[in-house]
Amino acid sequence: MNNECGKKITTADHDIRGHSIWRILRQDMIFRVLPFGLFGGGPNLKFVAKMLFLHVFGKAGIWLYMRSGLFRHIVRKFHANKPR
Amino acid sequence: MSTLTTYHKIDQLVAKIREMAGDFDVVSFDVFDTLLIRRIHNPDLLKMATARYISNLARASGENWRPEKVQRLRDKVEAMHRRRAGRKFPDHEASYPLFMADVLGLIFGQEKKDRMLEDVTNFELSIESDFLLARVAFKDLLIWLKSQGKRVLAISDMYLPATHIKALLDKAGLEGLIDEVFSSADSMAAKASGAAWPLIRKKLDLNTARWLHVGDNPISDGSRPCEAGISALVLQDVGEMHRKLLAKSYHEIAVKRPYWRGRLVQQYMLPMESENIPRSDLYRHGFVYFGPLLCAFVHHVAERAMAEGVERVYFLSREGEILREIWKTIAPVIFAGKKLPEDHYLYVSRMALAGAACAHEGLSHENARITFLPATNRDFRDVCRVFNLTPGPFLPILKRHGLDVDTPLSHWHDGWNPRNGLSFQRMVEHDADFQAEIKKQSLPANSALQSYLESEGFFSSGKVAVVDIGWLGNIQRFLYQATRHRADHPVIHGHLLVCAAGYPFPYAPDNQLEGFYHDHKKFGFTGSLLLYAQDLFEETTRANHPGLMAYSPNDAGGFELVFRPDNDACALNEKTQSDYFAPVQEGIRAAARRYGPAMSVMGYDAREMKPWLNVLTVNHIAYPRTRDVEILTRIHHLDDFAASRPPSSMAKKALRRLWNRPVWQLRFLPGLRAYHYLKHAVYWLRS
Repeated sequence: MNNECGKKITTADHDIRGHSIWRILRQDMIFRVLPFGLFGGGPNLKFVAKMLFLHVFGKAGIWLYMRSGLFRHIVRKFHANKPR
Repeated sequence: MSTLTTYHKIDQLVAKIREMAGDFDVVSFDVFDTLLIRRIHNPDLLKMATARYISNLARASGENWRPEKVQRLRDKVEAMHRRRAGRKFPDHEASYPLFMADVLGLIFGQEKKDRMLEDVTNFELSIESDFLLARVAFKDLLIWLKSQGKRVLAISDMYLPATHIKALLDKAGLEGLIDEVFSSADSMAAKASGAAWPLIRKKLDLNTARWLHVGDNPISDGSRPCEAGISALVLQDVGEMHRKLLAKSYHEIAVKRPYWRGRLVQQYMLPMESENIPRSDLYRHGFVYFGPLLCAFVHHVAERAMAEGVERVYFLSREGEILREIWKTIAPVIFAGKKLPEDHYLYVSRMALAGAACAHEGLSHENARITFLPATNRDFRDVCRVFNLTPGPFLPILKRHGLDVDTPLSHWHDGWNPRNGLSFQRMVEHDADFQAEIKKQSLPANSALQSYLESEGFFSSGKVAVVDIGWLGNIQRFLYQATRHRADHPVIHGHLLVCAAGYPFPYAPDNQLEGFYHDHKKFGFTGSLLLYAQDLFEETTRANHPGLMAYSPNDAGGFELVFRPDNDACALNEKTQSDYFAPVQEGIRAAARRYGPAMSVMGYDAREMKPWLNVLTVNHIAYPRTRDVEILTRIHHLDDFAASRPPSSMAKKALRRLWNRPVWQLRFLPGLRAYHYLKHAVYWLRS
């Protein structure tokens, strides 16, 4: 058991190594079956999904947004079509 | 001719600067979000920490100013200064020393404001500094630029004057790498309007054709310098934007759900740039789990101690050493501007205190039964070992009650008979000779303890707090019983990380005990999961010094602390253990350095961390990874109350826990963790 060969605590997608957003998702799934513990109202699956998306795809999304007008175009179009 | 190029990765930008360096004599950098980055997404959040500090100072001088009210006043005064500057200069700038002096003048009066300004400025700069760190790639670049003989400038549009910005740059590790610092707060001419560029050019007599500027804002650091004839490179770092987006999102959901508040604090605590280097798994456990848990505990102790008017806080050896270090790290930051109780480290152990506790009240049956809580203890010899007694003088008394020193008194052992237990109880409760001998033998240790406690100022305070990891509060029990005969004994408020059920505690108006993370008197299932692995918490937090064996009187009528000898087999095992767990403690200390500023800015109570701590506990203790159990489970645990004989097979079976299971079971048995979790839930709900 080599305890010396460590890894960085902050992962490349700015998450906590050993306690990533995936682990939160897994735990939330378990505790929908085993309802014990006080978790301050729970994480709310919508928030977990949002953070999961931002951790995993956030960087790519920003990259695309910065490099092309595509996202800006989509956002503008989306807002333009929204009923006011 | 000036040019403007935008980069999305810092490495590419740095490579380009190195390539272009020959064309320029002067390279200037924007400061915030370029040379220095903040751990938080919104710098305005830092202002609330200063508002809390000013509010605390105001309360200390009898003025009632809530932090929100202070912040509103600051915003108002700052806006007024900006409007005033806008009438005279091209930019609506403000200077921190000027507007903060006005704010403090309105709160504390004109005569006090100058003295207050220095304190408040130092606090604001220290909080800013805690949240700032230099980008490694730029630091390396600055060193290289200096070696190439280039002139390096730092230019910022900021309300802090250049002297303050220079202090922040120096503290971030850029000392000696920047020739001049310019701030719009000094000249009221900012980069954003373009007014700063000709001013700096004139002041330093620069050739704009040989000047390169680097920054993050496409207008202030891009278009404006280009208009002034300066070449510009703009960094719109995708990685940084991603990090800030995540921090912002955690901040938003933390407002809506308490669950995420602790996660937000941990996001602000995460190591970045040069701090984020490969660490061992043990360090990671210290930083990610044990650190936040213990910091929240100490944070809670500080909150309670100040609310209860406690004058001294005693951290009990040996777990108390690291708890006291955490106190010293986080309490002055979180409670800046408030008067904290004095903190002390008290050398105690159950063994040393148990012997001293019987001098005035004798040995109660309740105390005697504590001996048999560890399943390895069996007979009266163990009672003598635990209470530091010599068995010889008790032999005739035992004989009178039909007992012997070897008669089994614990149900975990062969030969146990309930009648023996009753005889033992009768002897302890009704035999005056037995109690007289107990008091006689305990008196010297008690006198030495009194001298030690007097030397630590224990009796000079009306209220004291004692702090320990857990579990039954036996140290506090013995401390209270050893001192309550004195008229000047203080009211003791005990604080444990986990206060477990299992043995009655002598609660009294002058002897209170509460658990932060779990208290058996309150509903809290997740906190009780720490009882899965009590040894783990003791081992990882224990100070690296031998355990205390006894308080011994010396010839001068004082005391001597008797520690376990260094060459003792147990002491050597403990030493090996402590050396092994040193990286965990290193991680805990690193977490404490980040916890204080993060909590100071967010303004959360310790209790608001609990939902997130529960999540961490369930994952790390109830559903641990096999590898984590492997590296965190060590065999050298010494219970100073327990005898060295092996426990019976019955006791072994009863004490089997998830963390004692063989590695192959943890790895290959599906549902093992869920089984133990449910077993614990059933036991806990029934008890």
